[in-house]
Amino acid sequence: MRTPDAPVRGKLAQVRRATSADADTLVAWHADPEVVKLWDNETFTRDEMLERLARPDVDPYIVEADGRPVGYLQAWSDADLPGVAGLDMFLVPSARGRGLGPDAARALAEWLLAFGDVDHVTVDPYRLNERAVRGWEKAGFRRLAKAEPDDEHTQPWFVMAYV
Amino acid sequence: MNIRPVTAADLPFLRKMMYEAARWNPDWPREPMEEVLAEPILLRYSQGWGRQGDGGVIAEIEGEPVGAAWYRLFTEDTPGYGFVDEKTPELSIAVVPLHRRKGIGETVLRACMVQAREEGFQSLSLSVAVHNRSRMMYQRAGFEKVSESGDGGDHWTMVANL
Repeated sequence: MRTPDAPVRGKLAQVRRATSADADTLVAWHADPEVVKLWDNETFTRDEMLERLARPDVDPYIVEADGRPVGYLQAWSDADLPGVAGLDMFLVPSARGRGLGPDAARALAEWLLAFGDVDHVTVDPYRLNERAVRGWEKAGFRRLAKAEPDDEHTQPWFVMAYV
Repeated sequence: MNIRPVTAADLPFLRKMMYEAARWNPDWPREPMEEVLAEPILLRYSQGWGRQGDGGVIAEIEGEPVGAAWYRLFTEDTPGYGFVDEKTPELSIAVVPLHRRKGIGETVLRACMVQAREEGFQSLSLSVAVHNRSRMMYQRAGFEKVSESGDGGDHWTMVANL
């Protein structure tokens, strides 16, 4: 999976690669239960975050609107799923409800399909997280199937794909 | 590429696709289509196409059909290869040989799953040979193995809950 050299622009938001300079912001976001309550409530130290940002199979991005960071978006790949990129995202509460998330996700999905050496973009929201499911649908993803908890998911989830 | 719903008028193309799906392994001899499709169990997939519960999508490139994913309800008495129950349509999928390896199969698979859910079906089943490379594609789309069949379990019956 390739990554964009310059920010990817949507209509409302833009997506840029996260760097070590974003570590403190990300640590603070993850420490806020409102931000990550549907992200398995994981918290990280600064060192853990720096390590996270350098994972070979996960590309981290910052969602920006009006020049300010408003959320986190990541694209993962899996050796067992060639050609597939999976997205995960959260926005800070103050940035929600304005369509920024779907706009950012659509922009990155389109970039990955056009230039990222990716054939399929998927997401795996928890079924109870209706807001996230609606957001992904707004971004252009469609529900394919219901899936049960597994190694990567603590709750039942939806297989969704960008179509 | 354009994706559109299957209609009753697509039966001739679907029969070609049924042949391709039945002879999925390129190493097998290419027996005549009419002969293959006349096998009693394969006839069940095409006879009276367009009846209640039949559905699917066709992929077209410049107006020419190049692939399809389609589904049909079977009964306990006359099941398909991937039969699980009378409420779960069985999915089939095929792409014209010249247009393979372009992601058309995965595109029609997804569109077909969305359509089946919108038609009110709660699940889809299929039968796939364990060594068929497309098995990974079904797993990516959320299909899970529910049973094994054939010689020594060389086929999987898989189900997706929509």
